[in-house]
Amino acid sequence: MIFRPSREDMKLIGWGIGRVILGIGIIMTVPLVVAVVSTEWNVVLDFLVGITACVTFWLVAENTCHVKKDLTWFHGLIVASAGWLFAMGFGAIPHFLSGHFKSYLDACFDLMSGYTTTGLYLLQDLDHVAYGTNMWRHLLSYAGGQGIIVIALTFLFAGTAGAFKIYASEGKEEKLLPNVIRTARAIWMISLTYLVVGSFFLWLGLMWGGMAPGRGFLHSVWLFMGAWSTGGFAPQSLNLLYYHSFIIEMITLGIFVIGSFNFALHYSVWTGRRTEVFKNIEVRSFAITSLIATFMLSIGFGKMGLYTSLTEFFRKGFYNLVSGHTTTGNSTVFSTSFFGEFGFIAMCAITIAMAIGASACSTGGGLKGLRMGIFTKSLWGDIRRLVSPESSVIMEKVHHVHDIWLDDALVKGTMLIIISYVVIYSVGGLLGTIYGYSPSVAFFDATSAGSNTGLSAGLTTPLMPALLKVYYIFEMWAGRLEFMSVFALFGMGIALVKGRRTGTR
Amino acid sequence: MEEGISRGNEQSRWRRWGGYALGILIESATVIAISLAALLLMFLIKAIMT
Amino acid sequence: MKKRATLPAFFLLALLAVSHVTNLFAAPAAFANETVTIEELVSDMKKYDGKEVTIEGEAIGDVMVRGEYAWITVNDDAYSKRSLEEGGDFAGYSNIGIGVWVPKQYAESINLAGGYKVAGDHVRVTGIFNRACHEHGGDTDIHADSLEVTRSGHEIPHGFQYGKLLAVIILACAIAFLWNLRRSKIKRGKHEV
Repeated sequence: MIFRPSREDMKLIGWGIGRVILGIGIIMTVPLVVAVVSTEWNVVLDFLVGITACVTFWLVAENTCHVKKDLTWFHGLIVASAGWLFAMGFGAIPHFLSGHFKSYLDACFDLMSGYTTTGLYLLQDLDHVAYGTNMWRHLLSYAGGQGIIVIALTFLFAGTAGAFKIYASEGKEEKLLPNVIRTARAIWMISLTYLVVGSFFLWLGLMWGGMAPGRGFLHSVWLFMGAWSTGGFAPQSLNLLYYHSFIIEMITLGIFVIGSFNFALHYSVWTGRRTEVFKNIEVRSFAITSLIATFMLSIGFGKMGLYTSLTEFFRKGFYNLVSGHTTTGNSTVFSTSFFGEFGFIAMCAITIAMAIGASACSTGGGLKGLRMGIFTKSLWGDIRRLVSPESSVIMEKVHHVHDIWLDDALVKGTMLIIISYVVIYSVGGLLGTIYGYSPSVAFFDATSAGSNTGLSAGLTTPLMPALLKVYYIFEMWAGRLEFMSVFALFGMGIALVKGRRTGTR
Repeated sequence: MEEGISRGNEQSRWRRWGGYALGILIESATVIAISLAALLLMFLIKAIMT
Repeated sequence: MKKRATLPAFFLLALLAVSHVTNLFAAPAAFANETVTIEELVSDMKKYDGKEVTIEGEAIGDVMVRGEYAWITVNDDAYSKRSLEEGGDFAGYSNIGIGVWVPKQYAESINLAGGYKVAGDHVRVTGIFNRACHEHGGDTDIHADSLEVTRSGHEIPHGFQYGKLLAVIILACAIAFLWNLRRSKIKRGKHEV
C-alpha cells in the first residue's frame, strides 16, 4: 500500500527546494564579482537577473510553504532529486542570457553537466566567452562536486534535525563527523585547502609556460576547479591540449586523482590515520583497475603504432585514461582522436575505466570503486563457499575507513545500483546507435554521460537530437545521485496518481 | 579536532595544519606511485611489443 | 603456452606499425598552396600527417612564449569570422582550432588574440601538420614555417542591454514585496504565540 503525499509533505519539500535555490543564488555572487572586476557589464546583468530570480523563488517558497514539521527520509530524497532539477533550471539563467546557447535546453544541459561534474558541454563559441561566464561554468562544477546539498547544508540548514536525511540523499552516506553540518564544513575545509594549494602550483606552471599573470591566475583557478571536481571543464575549447604543457598535465593529473578519492579517506589521512591510504579498498581498487586498463590501452597503442615514445604513452594514453577513470574528462587530444588515433582497444579500455569510475562520497561518478570492491569480494566469497565444506562459515570483508563485513543485504543493494548504471549506459548507447551514430561512439558518449565523465568521441554537440540531450541530462542526474533519490521521486510521482489518501502520515 | 585549553591552542593549530600538509603529501605520493607503476607497465609492454 | 604464440604476433604488428609511421614521415609536401580547414585536418589526420599545410584563421586566447618559439592557437570556425559576441549566428558547434608552434618573432607580430572583448588578428600559417608530434609529447599540432597577419583584430563593442536591467529592477521589486510579506508574517506569528 502506498500513501499519497499530503499537502503538508508537498509544502515541506517546496520549502527545502527553496533553500537549495537560495544557495544557488548565493554562489552566483562569485562570478558576479569576477564580471565586475573584469568590467563585463552585460555579464554582470546576466548574473544579477539570475540572483534576483533565485531569491524571488526562495521568498515565494518561504511565504507559501512554511510548515512546522521536520524532514523525514522521504522528504530528504525528494528535496535532493527535485532540488537538483530546480537548481538546473535557475542556474541556467545566466548561461542562457550570455547568448552562447542556442536554446534553454542546451543551457540546462550544461548546467546539469556542471553540477554533476560531467563536463560535456553544448555551449557554442567557448573561446569568446566572458570571464564571468567561465567562472560560473567552473564554479558550478566545483560546487556540484562537493554536492549542492552540502553547500545548502553549510549555510542554510543549520540546526535542522532532518539535515542528514537530505545530505545522504545526494549519494553521500558517509559522516566524517558525528554532526552532519560539521561534516559538510569538513568537506569544504578539505576542498578549499586543496583549491589554494593546487591553484598556486598551476599558476606557477602556467606562468612558466608563457601566460600573463592575470589570465594565468584565472586559468589556474578554473583548471583546478575543473580537475578537482572531476568535472573536466576548461576555459578554452581545446581543453588541456591548449596549454601544450607537461607540467600542467602532471599537476591536473594529480588534482583529479586526489579529487576522486573519498572525502572520508581525505579526512582520515589528514587527521592522523596515515596508513588508511594503503589499506582503503577504494584506493586499492582504483590502483588495480587503472593498471588493468593501462595494460589494455598500451596494447591498443602498440597495435596502432602512432604514439611511439614513453612520454607519448603517458601524456596521451595514461592521462586520458585516468581522466576517464576518475570521471574527469580533461583531455589532451581532439575528440575525434579517440576514434581515429587511439584505435578500438584503447577506446574500449577508456570506456571500461569510465564505467567503473571513482570513489564513493567523492566528487566523481561511475559505479564507484567501493562497489567494485564489494562486488569482487562477494564473488570471491561465493567461490570460496563453493569449494569449502558445507558447515564452514565464510565471511568476506572490505576495508573502508573501518572493516565492513559483507552480508546479503549489502551485496544486494550494491548489485541493484551496479545494474542500474549498466542499464542507463546501455540504453543511452542503444539510443545513440538508433539515431545512426557508430556504436563505439554512441556507447562511449553514453557511458561518459552516465558516469559523469565528460570525455566525448564527438557525438555530444549542439546539433544532437533533443531527445538524446534530455536523456543525457537524465543520465547525468541519475548517475550522480546514485539512483536512490531518483527512484524516490518516481515513487512519489506514482503515489500522487495512484496512492491512497490518508489523513496522517 | 577538539580545541584544547587556550594555552595549547597555538601549538595545536600548528600541529593540525602540519597534519593536513602531511596528508596532502601522502596523497600526492600515492598518485605518483600509481603513475610510476603505470609507467613501468607501459614500458614493459612497449618493450615486449617492439 | 598462449603467450608464446601471441608474442611473435605482437612483435610483427608492432614492426608493421613502426614501418607505417616511418613511411608517413617520408611523405612529401603537397597541400601548401591551398588553405585547408582545420576541421578537414582533424577529421582526416592520416591524410595530412607530416605534410605541409596552410591554414587561415583567428589567433585566439594567448600567445605563450617558450624560449625561441611560442604556442599560439588558431581557430578557423564560423565564429572566427564573426563571433557570437559580435552578433554572429550559431553554427552548431563549439570552436575548431589547433595549436601552432611558431618562431618567436612571428608570434610577436600578433597584437590581439581573440577573447570576449576582442576579435583576434587573422593569421595565415604555413607549416608541417603532425598527427602526433614527437617533439611535443604526441600533441596534434602544426609547426609553422611562415606566418603572416592578414587582418588585424579589433575590439568588440558591447552595447548596454537595458532589457536585462529592466528584468533586474522588476525582480528586485518583487523581492522587496515578498520580503516585507514574510516579515509581517513572522511578526504576526509571534503575536499569535
